[in-house]
Amino acid sequence: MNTPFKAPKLLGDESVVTKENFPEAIQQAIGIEIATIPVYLFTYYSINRTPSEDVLKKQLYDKLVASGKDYTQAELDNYVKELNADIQVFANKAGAMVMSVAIEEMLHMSLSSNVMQAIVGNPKHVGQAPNSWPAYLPGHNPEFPINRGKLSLRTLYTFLQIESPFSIEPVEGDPDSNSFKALNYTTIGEFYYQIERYVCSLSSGDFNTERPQLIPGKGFYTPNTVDTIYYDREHQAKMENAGDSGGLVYVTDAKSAIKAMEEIVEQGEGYSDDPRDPCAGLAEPEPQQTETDKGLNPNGTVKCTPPSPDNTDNPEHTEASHYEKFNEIFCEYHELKNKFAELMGVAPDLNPEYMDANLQGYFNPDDCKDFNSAAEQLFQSFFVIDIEKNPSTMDYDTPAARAVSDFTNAMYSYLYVMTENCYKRKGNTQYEIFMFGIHKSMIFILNSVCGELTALTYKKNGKTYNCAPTFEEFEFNTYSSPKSQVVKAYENAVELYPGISYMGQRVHDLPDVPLDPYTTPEKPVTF
Amino acid sequence: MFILNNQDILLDSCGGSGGGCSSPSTPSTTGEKGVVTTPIELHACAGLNACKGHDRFGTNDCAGTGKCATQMHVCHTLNNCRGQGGCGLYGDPEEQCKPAANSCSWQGSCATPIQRERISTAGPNAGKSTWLLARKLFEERMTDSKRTIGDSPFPAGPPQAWLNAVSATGEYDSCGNSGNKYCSFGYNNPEVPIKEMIDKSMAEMPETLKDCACTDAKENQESKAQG
Repeated sequence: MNTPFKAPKLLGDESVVTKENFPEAIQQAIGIEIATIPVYLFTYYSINRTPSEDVLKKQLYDKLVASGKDYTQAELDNYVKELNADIQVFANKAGAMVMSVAIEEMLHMSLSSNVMQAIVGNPKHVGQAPNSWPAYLPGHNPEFPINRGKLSLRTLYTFLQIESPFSIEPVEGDPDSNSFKALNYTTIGEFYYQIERYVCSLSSGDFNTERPQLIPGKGFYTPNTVDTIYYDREHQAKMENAGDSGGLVYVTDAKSAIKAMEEIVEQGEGYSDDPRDPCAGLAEPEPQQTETDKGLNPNGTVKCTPPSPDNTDNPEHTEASHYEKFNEIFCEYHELKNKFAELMGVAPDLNPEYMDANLQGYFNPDDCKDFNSAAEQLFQSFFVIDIEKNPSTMDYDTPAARAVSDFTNAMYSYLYVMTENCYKRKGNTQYEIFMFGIHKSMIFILNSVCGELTALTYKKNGKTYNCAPTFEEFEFNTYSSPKSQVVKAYENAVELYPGISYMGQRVHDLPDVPLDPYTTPEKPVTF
Repeated sequence: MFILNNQDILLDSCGGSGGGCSSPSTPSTTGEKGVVTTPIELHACAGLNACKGHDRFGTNDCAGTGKCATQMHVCHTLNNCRGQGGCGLYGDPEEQCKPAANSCSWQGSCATPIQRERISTAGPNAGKSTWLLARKLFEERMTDSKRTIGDSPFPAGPPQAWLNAVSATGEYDSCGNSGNKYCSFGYNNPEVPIKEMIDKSMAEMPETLKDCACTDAKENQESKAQG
């Protein structure tokens, strides 16, 4: 059963990072980045990025005919062609955008780990991911629930909250402002700014450059892969991440540490031509939201206006920040949903409250009647897999689905074991663990098994859902190596679900990486 | 479905569902489907063979004229030997600057064969043809070895439709989830963006090679920072 878990306070009641609380603060920074990864990946795997054109066209045709509208054959043909292209482009684009953000969150995990490794060492990754849902982003004040959900307006709204570049303030003069508690919202950018201010006080002698980091030049990170591109209506390839939006940073001093952290903030919340100087004598105040800023409206509703340069994350202003990417998907999803609803005889969501900038009082997404409307359910039916919110392996009612889910969780958790081990190893051993362990696991095992899971179904409360990767912590015991437990989980799964047998060699080829206390850094890794 | 050895015939690769597109028409492949001779040299694609008789069908006359890859693998880091990485789509900028010219096993990025439609996704060749860069690097290597090379049977690499036709499953695609690289939703002629991409790649090749050399040098230097 999932029980809500409360996030630890970022700095207790303090707001200043000091030598004493720095280790906790930077570890929580790593925790913030890790917390977002399963959330974004869960949504990613709910999207059918490339629906079969023949199947989709038939679905569209049937819905248009059933709408009761008096379409001619020519109109039907035209609408089918147009709506098919709408779905094909949007589904692929939404998938590419979510994956491009997830990849950068993995980069951020590495950047904040490099900062910790250089200053105090021993960054932790195992056991840092949320294991009960809804989860809460470590350190955010106020807390807001984060659920693992399929692609929807509600899910995208949560993503906007996570990546919000501005604090949400009460509406001045609002008589209800004391009745809602969502005040004094702390952004991830503000959090990193406080860490940067402490780092400014350090001298070069405070940085250990010998402890292994994930550094540039070794092929560990690339901003774009085939999974972050999509094709527009004319089938021109579009790349979601720009080449100059940053990469790994070798942290050797205060300057490089700040560069690493500013890259995290810029990719998430937007690039600034005039950033606050963390090394100024007095702390500069957090920028205030203005009418021209993107962000959420002051009352928490969503603003659908053309992107502004402030919401890009690179000097050339060619790549949208995480916030802007999610804002763009949210607004495009909203428009398409209403277009499909109108053509198919379903009531569209006119004047939705989630976009009402003049709404009195603070917008509470959980009270929003427009989320999951009939119009949204219709739109989702064409490309979003029917996945329940926050499923757990125990929900799955067949031994095969449970076994495949267990294997998925073992593989997912082993990724963190390998990541943590990369910070204990140098040179070729580190390269081998990363390239043939982490990289291959993600592309050739986790990606494949997540796809397999969403093809399985289970029943709950009389309704049939598709299974989904639950991203639960797999607790490795100390009686055998973590790899042997991953292999065992695979063997259990393949016995009940032979459809994953093509992964066998890949699983057996994984590097054999021990849990942290049993690591011998000078020994090469075995496979 | 995965490719395990060279005795097998072309199979599709990871994520190779073909995407949402309807199938394009396929060119004639009479007598070629499923025909594989024991390869002498393992290479990554059409036009990248070093000797006579070294293509998939064992019928080419000289270097650079082979019709198809003799080495097949499905994705990034799955190549067994030097020079067998397909590249494009996965891999960091340095890797994507060396299609079919990687220095070691498991260092390739993306699948082989390299279809005409494939673009690189990172580095100086981003958005441009992977096969054309592979061919250029091959030509340079052959020139250094004082070898005469002939024209490739496919001037910009083997079209995906041709690879589909010679595939045992009737389908070939390289890695990833973004869908069919040769496609139309009814609003374009799919040949047009491919031709534009190829023309651009050819026009910018000198600049690409120059920038790739810089990328290589930069990454080499950065990678030595911690030994």
